[in-house]
Amino acid sequence: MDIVAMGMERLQALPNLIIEIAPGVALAILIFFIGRAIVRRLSRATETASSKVPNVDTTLSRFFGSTVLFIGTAAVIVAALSAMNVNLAFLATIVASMFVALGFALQDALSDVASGIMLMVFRPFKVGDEVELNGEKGVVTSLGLFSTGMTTRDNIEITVGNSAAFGNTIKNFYHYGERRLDMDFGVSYDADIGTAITALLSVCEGDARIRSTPEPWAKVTGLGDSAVNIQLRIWCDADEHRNLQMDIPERVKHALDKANIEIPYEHNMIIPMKAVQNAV
Amino acid sequence: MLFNMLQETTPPPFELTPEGLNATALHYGQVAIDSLIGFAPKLIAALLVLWIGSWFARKVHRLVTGQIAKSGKIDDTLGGFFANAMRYLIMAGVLLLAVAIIGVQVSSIFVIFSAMTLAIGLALQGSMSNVAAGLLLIIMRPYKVGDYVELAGEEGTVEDISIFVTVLRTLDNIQIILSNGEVRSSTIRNFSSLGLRRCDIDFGIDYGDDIGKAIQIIKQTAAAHPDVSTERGDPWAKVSCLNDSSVDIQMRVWCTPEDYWDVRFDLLRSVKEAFDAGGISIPYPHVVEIEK
Repeated sequence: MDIVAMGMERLQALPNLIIEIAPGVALAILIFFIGRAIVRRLSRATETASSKVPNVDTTLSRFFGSTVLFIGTAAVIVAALSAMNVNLAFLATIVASMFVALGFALQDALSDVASGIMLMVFRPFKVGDEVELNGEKGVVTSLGLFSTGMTTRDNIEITVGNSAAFGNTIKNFYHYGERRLDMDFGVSYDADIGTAITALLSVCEGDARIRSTPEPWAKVTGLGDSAVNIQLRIWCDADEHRNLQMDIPERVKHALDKANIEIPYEHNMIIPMKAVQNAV
Repeated sequence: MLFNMLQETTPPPFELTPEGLNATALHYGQVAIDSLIGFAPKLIAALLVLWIGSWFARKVHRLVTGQIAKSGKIDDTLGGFFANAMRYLIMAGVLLLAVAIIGVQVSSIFVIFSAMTLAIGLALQGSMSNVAAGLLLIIMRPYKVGDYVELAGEEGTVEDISIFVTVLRTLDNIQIILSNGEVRSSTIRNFSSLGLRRCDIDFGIDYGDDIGKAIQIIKQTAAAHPDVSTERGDPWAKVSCLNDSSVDIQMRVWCTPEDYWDVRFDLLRSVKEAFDAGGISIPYPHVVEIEK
């Protein structure tokens, strides 16, 4: 009997309880649904707004959109819970300290993401460009949020974290489309410089890959120990640079041979000891 | 807030009789009216804040877009994106403020947001230090667009100075992108800012040659070059070093930064040819052979 009476008492108190809680719950539901609608619109607006920026691709704009959605939804849920008078102070502290801890732990990864966003927005290079990142040279194969992938010419895959890529010197060999190829050749001190220069310039004739403007250039760039150094400078397509670099030396050798110009060995004037003693 | 009011007054015990229901209904009716009266000023204040906030956000948006359009340096779409981002940020702040005025506890949200800001700050540490360096570079102007400079060991003509990076174009047409932090943390060498440059070339002549004659040939050849400037003095040549196998004579001439390399390469050739014609020889390294 006691148990039945107690149950009845509880049952009678139930409507009171419901009436007491109801306004809070109603408000929470209201906040949740309105908030979610706002957050969704905000997320979609972020996505479309960021996709309008020329350098931002779909991956990145979707990332922005979902970031806004995630943070916004979390905020809405917190607001809804606090409307129901749930004390969230302890939860807030836990989440906040979690953020700080994660921030420290993921600092490097997060800064990779930040640099990745920079790389995507500023686009210092694009897929297919030959670049030097963090001291490594290669052709860019992928642009990720965390890292950039490259392939070297001898087929090694290189992955550079975006913060290392963005924080160090970036060299883009393809950006301007054309490049200058500089090659040094040493000719004998006895040779006529004019003839040597003409011979060097003659190797550029008839090669369609070498630009006529700016025209090939050759000048004395140094008076070395055993040779007069002449530099040949030619302009070409950035993609042809390495091919020409491998084609020119052989042609120069033939051209200098034909013009009777010596490519000297290292010279040493050997003076016999006796001659020195006689002079003294 | 509604539920605060409800907790302040004790409702009559709930009874399933007409009188009991009547009393309950009356009580809650009274509470509803009371709380509506109490709630109205808060609601009006919140709406007012929302209204002023959205007006302010729109104003900022228009100001930012206007400034970006005027400066012409920032890409329009990118500028639009930043302006929009700013507007939404302000709106988010205003919304939070409005919610706080109605009475929802937002302090917990703020705690989380501040922790999040800290995490984001940690992530953006590198980029932000670049921004700081970029601002310093823009204010102090150690170089400007078009200058020929050496930054972080890389030489080139400055193409662009932005808030994050400095872009160089090397003479052999490679684009170099340097983060501003990297630029600021190492030596900045500007070859263009001071005007004339001095071109120094060492010529080695034989120990047996006439030094006076060699110096005369160098000075004459240098003076004959059309791009050599006499603004800061005539061409200069003196014995700078008694080297292993040669007497080194250093030539110093002045020219504009643009002509520097032409002057250097032209004089190397013409001095060599003038030495040949004047009987001055450029010696090979000498080695004395010792017999035992």
